[in-house]
Amino acid sequence: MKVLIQTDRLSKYYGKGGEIKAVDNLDLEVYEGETFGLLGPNGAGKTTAIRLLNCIIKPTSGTARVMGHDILDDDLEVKRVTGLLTESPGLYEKLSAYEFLEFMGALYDVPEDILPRRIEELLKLFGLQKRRDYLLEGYSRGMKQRILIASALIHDPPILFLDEPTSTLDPRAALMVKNLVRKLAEDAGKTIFICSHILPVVEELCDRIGIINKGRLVALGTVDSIKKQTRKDTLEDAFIAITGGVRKKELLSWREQRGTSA
Amino acid sequence: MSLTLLFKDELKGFYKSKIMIFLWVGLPVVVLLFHLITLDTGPIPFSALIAILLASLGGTLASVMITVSIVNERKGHVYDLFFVRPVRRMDILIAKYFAVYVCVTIAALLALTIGFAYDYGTGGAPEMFLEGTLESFVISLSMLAVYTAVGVLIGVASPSVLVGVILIIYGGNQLSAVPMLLPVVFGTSSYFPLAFILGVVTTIILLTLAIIVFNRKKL
Ligand SMILES: Nc1ncnc2c1ncn2[C@@H]1O[C@H](COP(=O)(O)OP(=O)(O)OP(=O)(O)O)[C@@H](O)[C@H]1O
Ligand SMILES: [Mg+2]
Repeated sequence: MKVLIQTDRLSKYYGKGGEIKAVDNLDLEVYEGETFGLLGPNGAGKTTAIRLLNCIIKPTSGTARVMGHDILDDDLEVKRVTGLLTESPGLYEKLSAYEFLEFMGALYDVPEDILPRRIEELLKLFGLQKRRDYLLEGYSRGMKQRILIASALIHDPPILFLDEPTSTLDPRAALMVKNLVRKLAEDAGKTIFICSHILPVVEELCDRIGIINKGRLVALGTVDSIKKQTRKDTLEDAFIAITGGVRKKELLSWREQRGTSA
Repeated sequence: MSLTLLFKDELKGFYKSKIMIFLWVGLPVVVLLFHLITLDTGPIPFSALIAILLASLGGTLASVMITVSIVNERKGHVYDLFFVRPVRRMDILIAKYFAVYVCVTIAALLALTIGFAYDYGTGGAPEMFLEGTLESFVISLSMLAVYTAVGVLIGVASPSVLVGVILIIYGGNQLSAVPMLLPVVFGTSSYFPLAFILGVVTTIILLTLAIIVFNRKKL
């Protein structure tokens, strides 16, 4: 299998003397055509990893290659082969959906004879044709999310990064986005890299997952293999076991304490 | 390539949010009102007065406009749209700079035209007010350039809109007076070209600083 993303001891430290290890010596490979999920609790370093891989920030040490382009040297090339939905992205609210896609496409130099057709295709795929000429300021959250994913696909990149694509959506909108992602992976053959802490989404969509905690990769493999490694029945239990989260018993311990002190 | 795209997009944004109308109608109207209120300006032609007024009024407008717009877009994560795409960060700032500068300059030209028309209508001889006014207008333009650059720098560096506006009121005016005052301080005879050059140089320094800060900002 062809490796599309390969990180080499990728690290990003913040704070005085680099005490906050947002991403710490990450070694990871993502293969062509797979949907890869990066899981981790809040603050684990998922967003930082995605920002590093998309050349928005520079690593403290280590590097990565995205379709053969080094993130340190070829940032413009990397950006041309990736599409990214960021965690809480802004929008040009004063543009219509069509104008927005047109603008984003122009930024990638999508040829003018291809762009209109591609915009139509994306609007159709994302069910936004009827609202194409409405200003984005009137869009609902779910619709904004769809237009943002569409804009990440406007230059037809082989790799799509999605940072928490469903965490702010209601169940229906989340389902729609989930189906879309599946369609992109299966029909369009995209390689997809999803970050999330919503386990069912990841479990359903991803061929392989990596679990990251405090910047370090602590598990890697298919969902089944990770369950097996941790001898748990659900991904949730495995996740808690691996990331060292609190158990139910610990969560309830305050009751006992109160009970005894009263 | 992306620079012209971003520039057009900025102008479109100003147009759609009706900022252009307020500037292009508003500035001449305010200037005219100002004149009506202070009727007795002595021998100074109205157009010359306008040129001076424009530098401070238009300048403050320009720097507030650009600061607010940059801080808002930073807070609203709008720049993420560009950072994930093959766009140079400096192009974002330069496009915004020129969009605001062009808008405000057009407003200034409109106001000045009205001033000329007024002076002409009230019987002034054109050559009398043309000469001095044009010079002071060029200096006003170079002050506007500095003001706008101050706005970019503060917009990039300031943590909030309010802090940005406060900084402009504290520092913007003083800084943009540089091209006006320095030649006077040094008592040079060639006041006009020196003021102009100083304006351009200050602008370039400020914009370069802004670009450096913007490139280094952790996002
Ligand atoms: N610009 C920054 N400056 C300082 N610290 C940062 C910065 N960006 C991230 N961090 C820190 O790096 C760590 C990882 O953050 P990151 O946003 O990557 O986590 P995450 O896994 O995406 O979390 P979440 O699930 O909440 O989105 C956190 O401790 C965060 O505080
Ligand atoms: Mg995150």
